[in-house]
Amino acid sequence: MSCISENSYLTLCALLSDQIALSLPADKVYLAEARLQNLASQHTRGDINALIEKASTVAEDALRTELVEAMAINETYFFRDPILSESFLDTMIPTLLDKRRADKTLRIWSAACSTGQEIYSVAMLLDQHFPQLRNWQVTLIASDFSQSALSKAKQGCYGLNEMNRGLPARNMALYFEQQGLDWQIKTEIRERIRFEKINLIREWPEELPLFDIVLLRNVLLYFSMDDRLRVLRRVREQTVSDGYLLLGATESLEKSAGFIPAIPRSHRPFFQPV
Amino acid sequence: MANTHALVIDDSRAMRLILSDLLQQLGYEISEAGDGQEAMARLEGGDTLPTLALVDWNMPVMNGLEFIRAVRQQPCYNGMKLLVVTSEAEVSQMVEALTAGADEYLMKPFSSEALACKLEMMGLQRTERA
Ligand SMILES: C[S@@+](CC[C@H](N)C(=O)[O-])C[C@H]1O[C@@H](n2cnc3c(N)ncnc32)[C@H](O)[C@@H]1O
Repeated sequence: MSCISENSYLTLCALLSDQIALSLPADKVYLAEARLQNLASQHTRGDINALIEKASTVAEDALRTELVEAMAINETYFFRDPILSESFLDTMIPTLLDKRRADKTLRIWSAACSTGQEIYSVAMLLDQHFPQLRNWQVTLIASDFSQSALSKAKQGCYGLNEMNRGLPARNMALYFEQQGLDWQIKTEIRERIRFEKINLIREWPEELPLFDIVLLRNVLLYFSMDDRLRVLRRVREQTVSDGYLLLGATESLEKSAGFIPAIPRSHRPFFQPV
Repeated sequence: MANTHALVIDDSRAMRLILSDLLQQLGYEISEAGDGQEAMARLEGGDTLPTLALVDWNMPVMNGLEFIRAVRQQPCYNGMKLLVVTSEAEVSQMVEALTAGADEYLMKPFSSEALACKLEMMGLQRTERA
């Protein structure tokens, strides 16, 4: 196994910070080694230092993309953290059903969707608990910078391990079809979601609408404080003034980000614009 | 701690060992049974109702489905949650298990994390996960 030199590690950290705002701690060398081993055997005869050097040269766009995607943390699962179901069922949808009853539109964005479990959980929640939304115009957008995560999300195909984590058996029976050893979410649910490639620290598509609900979960925790605030401010601009923001269970917010807790004095990662 | 007693029902001794081990790590006291009938006998003979039973699907004498039906016919066992743990991953079987009164369904092979996650979903295990 090839080891990463100090210099290469610094190059790698700079690259990741520049490309996706991932701020890799100094003690994660072993992680980089494990994650880049495969790519290095494909491209630089197993030499990870050479891989990093190659990927950081201007001409190697494709390789750089592959390397960055290999380093991104994609961990996700269905119905992650109780706050997801709770906030949708108890607060957000009941409130929005009332507030938006005139124009009957609802826009939801999973802004770092990884392999799709988060947005599919939302789609299942809406389908199961709010049948009245069927004659509304519901826009579900799921985005990630990672093309490989997005392709998997679009397919909506999951293995046993992923199916065993967080998905109630009832949902599995209702919304999935067996495809050999894998399970695929039914087309009628898949079709409700628009998947887009969006890097949170680059330009966002102009046609991105204003959202009633933004899920920005378990992604900012890998960013530096500056990048975190920058992204949050843009998310604030992309959220309607009576909309909602959900973060990951362990994430908190600086006041200056423009959001306050949706449930006063609670420590839940559930917010509304100031 | 009271309330953390699990009944592990599986005809494979190896599987019972694995499950018991994982559950012990999660703080459960364990009793075991090799089939549904033995499990019923344990329930009838025990002083306290287990919080949870892990139920294999294919077993001799009385299989998982028959056990679930028998348990759900007796209101005094209502407080016990039923988790089917099986390598049968057919939607039709899952529906059968849920209709019969199972609370959740875990497919083999599974990770310890998946088990903990299921228990949490069943309102049994509150792990403060990152
Ligand atoms: C740990 S996953 C979280 C997935 C899901 N939101 C959840 O909470 O389970 C983080 C995701 O953020 C994505 N990501 C990281 N940096 C990003 C960036 N700058 N722009 C868009 N997505 C990014 C990664 O590709 C990964 O899929």
